[in-house]
Amino acid sequence: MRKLLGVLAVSVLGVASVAKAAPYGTAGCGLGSIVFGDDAGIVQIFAATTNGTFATQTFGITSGTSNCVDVGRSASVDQEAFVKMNYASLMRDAAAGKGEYLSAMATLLGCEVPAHESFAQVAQSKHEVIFAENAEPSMALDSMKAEARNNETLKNSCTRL
Amino acid sequence: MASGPVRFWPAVIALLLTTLLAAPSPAAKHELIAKSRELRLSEQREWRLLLHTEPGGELSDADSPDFFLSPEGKEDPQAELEADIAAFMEPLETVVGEGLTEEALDASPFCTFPARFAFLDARLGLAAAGAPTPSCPAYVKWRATLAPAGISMIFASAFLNAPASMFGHTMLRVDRRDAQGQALLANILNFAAYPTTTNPFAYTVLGLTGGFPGRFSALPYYVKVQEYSNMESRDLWEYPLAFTDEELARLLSHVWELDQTHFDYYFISENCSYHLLSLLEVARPSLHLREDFPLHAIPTDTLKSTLRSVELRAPRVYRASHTRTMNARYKLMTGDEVELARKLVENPEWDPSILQPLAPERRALVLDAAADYHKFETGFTPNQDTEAGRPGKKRELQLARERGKVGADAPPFTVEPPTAEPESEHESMRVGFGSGITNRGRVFGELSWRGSLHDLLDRPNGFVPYSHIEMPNIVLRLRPDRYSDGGGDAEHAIIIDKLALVSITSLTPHSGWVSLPSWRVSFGAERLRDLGNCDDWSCLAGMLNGGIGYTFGSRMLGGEVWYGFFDLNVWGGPKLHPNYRIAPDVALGSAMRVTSFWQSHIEGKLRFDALGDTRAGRWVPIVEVGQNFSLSPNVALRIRGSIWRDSAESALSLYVYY
Repeated sequence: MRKLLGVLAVSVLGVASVAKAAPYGTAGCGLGSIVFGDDAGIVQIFAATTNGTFATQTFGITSGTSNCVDVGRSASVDQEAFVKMNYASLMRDAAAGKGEYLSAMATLLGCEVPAHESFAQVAQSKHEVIFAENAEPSMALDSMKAEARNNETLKNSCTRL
Repeated sequence: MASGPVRFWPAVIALLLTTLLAAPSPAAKHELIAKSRELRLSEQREWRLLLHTEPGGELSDADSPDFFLSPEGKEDPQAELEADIAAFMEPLETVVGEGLTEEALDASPFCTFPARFAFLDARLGLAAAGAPTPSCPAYVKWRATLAPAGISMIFASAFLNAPASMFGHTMLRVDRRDAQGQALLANILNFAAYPTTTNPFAYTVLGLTGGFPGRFSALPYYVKVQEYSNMESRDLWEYPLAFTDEELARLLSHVWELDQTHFDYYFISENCSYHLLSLLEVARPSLHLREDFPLHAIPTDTLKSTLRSVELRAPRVYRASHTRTMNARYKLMTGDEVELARKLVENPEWDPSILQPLAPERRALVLDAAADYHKFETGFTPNQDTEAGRPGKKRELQLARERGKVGADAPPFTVEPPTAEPESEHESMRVGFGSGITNRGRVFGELSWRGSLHDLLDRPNGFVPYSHIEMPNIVLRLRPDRYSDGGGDAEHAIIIDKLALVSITSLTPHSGWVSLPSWRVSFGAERLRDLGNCDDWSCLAGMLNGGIGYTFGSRMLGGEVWYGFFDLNVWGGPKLHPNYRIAPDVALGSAMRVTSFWQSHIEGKLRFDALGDTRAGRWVPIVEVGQNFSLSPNVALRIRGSIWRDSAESALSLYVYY
């Protein structure tokens, strides 16, 4: 019903804003394409998905799965997708030294739960290095991992640095 | 599936034998097929669910030939079952070629249709009879990376500003074992249409007739949180459903099979919510969820239906949208603090020293609120380094780092949902029986039916506050006395009083930093009320109107809003001379929740008949008042009164929601 009604509204109200189908994720891993696609790509994904169920993203079952199956893909694709998609929230959590995004990041870096607090401390104390002004998300991720490797606790407890 | 100790050894011996004897004999295949007929396996509900046949039918909803191994598979569950047995029993080399590479194994029937294999194996013993069971590298890896610990149903609340989102949205989430409590990293299973046109007309037609393919997809929950909570300011409700590990495993093995197919997407019936229900039925075949929705599936209805049949394994979780969290922080601040937060965001010069007079926890609050406000103003487009965006990014960084320096927590607070949980909504369809009287003493009866969903007077629990969305709503006026007249009036004994094909009102009260216009629009036909109690068929006129306005909220009673609108109305019909009328109006009104069971709405309008028929006088005053009393969640009594220039009427109706 909502579809019908949505469509009625689209046509009747003349507020048609139907997103255009964008060809991502068609080959390989959908998440990978978030990371490796061009800059417009990430915007288009949102343009597509913000239309609710009119979403035109072409992720399949396997291709969009976080940590998805993609031959030769390393763990860092997931990490990079996460940082790119949640940069602002992560940056904010890191400054505050806690939060859901920071904790999820620690998990993606393979840190065991007891080490999450150490990770939060590192992210907070090295904030200016990790989240430098005008830093690209991939650069932030690299510095984050480098800082974690420099930390004795994290080096031993996080498996995906 | 379960192999007890008794069945185990024969199975192992059979497996060893068949391995020694290499390929299974064709005879085994025929025996299994014969046995499947004997057991009437294709009539079992589990099999029908795996093929996505319609409830009680044989025709599959799946529309991709790759989903069926038999050419008749879509129409004939038995043919598909036999073709599947044959394929599963085929030696690997003949199916996937000699190489047996990883990709080749992944493409084998066993790896492509794991749920079907499990179903047949449990009943016929395929593996014991020699069916190859290769390793399935991609499938195994996929299952491992999902790390499934449970399934949650996720409901995204309605979003009136996008036509596709007005009725909310449902998704399933595969909760992760290795990231307990970290919902963000779990994966969402979503069913969505893939439109192939942007032409609104073609869109409508194709959408209604199944012209678009619908597909299941998986995406991390954090993508959906960005999309719903942040970009669209929609609250998310998470319902952890109680399914056993076995049911969960079956659901996922079937989801894997769905990568092979699409379903023609029907906007009314076979939509996102409907197909999610079919997944839950696969998980637990004793559930009969889709049968509740033979004609249409509104997301909240499917949610309610699910919650009636499936227990929760953990309490429901409310995830407030960014805007709602921001507003909650706004309300915690004093006027001076609000001003400080605004300055931190808007002043071109960055000067955090203005926070010095505040205690650390108040500083933390102001900085948190300022960061919320800054994000709200600059938007949620994921990080992109552009020249124009740099000052905003810099301020974002400054606000976050300043917050880090405070070293204290802000005062604790919880963000309350604006209304009750979505499953407490009244049912989505409504039928009404009423009677009224006009100022000329004529008594009339009234029958009404609404396909969906909610108006300003209905019990508000669960709905977007102060929203009105009706598609369609038809009101019939009955004049039984016209039969007894004996004259030619009988044909007017039942007339259409109002037919709203689409009618939407979105009142967004001014709140904190959120200042959005309110708007309304409706389209349909109505009886022209201002032509002297006109009430025969000729009084019916086509109607289109829309307006823009502004809304304030207050809390003198149970919560109320006050609004002003500027509208433009267009009518066309035979009673008008010439056949149309174009009239702007100015309206003032208020919608109130007087108590939990009493809603009130009043609106006064002054209309200016500018073009076309102006016989009603240039200026037409209109007043409409309604009081609604909820007798139970799904029964209400409503009193209405209206004055249209020199016509007036009042009516009492009983509404039943179903």
